[in-house]
Amino acid sequence: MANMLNIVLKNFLKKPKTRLYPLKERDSFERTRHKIHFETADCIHCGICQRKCPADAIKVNRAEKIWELNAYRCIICGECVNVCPKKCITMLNKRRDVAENKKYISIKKVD
Amino acid sequence: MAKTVIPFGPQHPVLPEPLQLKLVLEDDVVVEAIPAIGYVHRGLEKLTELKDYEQSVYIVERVCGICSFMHSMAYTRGIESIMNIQIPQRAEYIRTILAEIARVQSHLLWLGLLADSFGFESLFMETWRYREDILDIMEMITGNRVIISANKVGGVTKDFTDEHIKFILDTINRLEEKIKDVENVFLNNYTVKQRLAGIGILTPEDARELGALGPIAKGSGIPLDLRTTGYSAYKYLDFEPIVDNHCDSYGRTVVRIKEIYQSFQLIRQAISKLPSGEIFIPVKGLPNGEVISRLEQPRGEAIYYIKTNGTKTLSRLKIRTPTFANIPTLLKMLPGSRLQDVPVIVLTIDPCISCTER
Ligand code: SF4
Ligand code: SF4
Repeated sequence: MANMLNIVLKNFLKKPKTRLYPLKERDSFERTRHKIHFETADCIHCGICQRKCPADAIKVNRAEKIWELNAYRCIICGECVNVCPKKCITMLNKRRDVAENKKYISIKKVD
Repeated sequence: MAKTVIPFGPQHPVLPEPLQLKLVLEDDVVVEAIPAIGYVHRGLEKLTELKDYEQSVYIVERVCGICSFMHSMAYTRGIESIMNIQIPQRAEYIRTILAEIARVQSHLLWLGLLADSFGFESLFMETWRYREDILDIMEMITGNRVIISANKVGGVTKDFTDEHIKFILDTINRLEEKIKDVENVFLNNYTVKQRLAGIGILTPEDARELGALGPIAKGSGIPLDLRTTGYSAYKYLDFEPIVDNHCDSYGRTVVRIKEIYQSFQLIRQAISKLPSGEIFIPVKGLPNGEVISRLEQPRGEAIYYIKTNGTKTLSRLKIRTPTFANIPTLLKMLPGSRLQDVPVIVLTIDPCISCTER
């Protein structure tokens, strides 16, 4: 009984365990995988990332220099980040924003 | 007396996963239980015949959401033995440590679900809060909390830094103290004991005959633990399988709680012996051959049969998960028990139906 009272009093004085999401977001760790980010400048549209992606989330169109990501298929495994010879895909530890519709993220390179 | 048949599941408050049991009752005593599975078949085995063998690591990880790491470990170990690859020692150790971390989180999850099954909500929340700390370790090291994708044919993808090792040790030291509190409630509280002791009895003879695995066999006094065969880095670690002679739900709870401490001990041992060096060796060529790869998951022994034919894809993958092997023991435990004890008994085999159905 005394033990229980002790716990009740302690919990009464402690700060809440929960966060006021979305006002306060949880901090990510350095390696946390939240989303992949593509920089088009160096991309040579070799298509290695497309071949290695286990979820078939990336489509590369060499002729038109378009790199496309279906973020709804992507399982954020990081395989594309490791294989890209030009290092144009990076993994971010920031959450992906809420999307309005299920469109491909399509990036066209303009020279 | 007239018999009633009650469908238990596939949707039921205590079952997180779709298992159906048709319970034949006399009054409120179960006479027979008829299982039906097949609600979450996803065809993952077939999918590995279409994907690259390296990509299939990500598929087998998704067989189960809880022992995801161990599935990928069984698979990569299988492919490595077909291709005759000796992975670096450090990678073996890292795999072992991650596997033990995964075992702790699985057992904590199970303890929470058990508390939930007899309606002890605050205990359920408490155990799951501790589990979050374990998931933090996973996230810090590998970047994800549950499906961690740290395995690769040829080694592991994520290395430990000193900071990680300190974080792991701090967390498990802190948790060990806290788990002692919940252990006290699970094992000594009068009400909880009433719900566990003498419920779901499985004698050692039955356990042997029905092929019980993992904590169910150990809870019936059979020291059956595949880790003692010394796969991966377990051969360098010193431990004994945990057994308990209660042969009931209480015994299985004791085994799982003790296994949490044992895993902490194994993690400490492995960290103290962690060699330095590479964590990955590049793999050349394609696998050709077949292999049976087995390892001890939190729920028991998993068997992977892998057949390859020298092409990029596998020609057959067959996964036998521990829950599948444990369902016959469940059917043995249920007759004679009362309806209100059915959820507890079903949970003590730690059913993971989506891995059973792949
Ligand atoms: S692998 Fe890199 S360079 Fe090649 S297409 Fe993909 S993003 Fe571009
Ligand atoms: S992170 Fe993985 S799933 Fe996502 S696009 Fe890259 S390779 Fe494909």
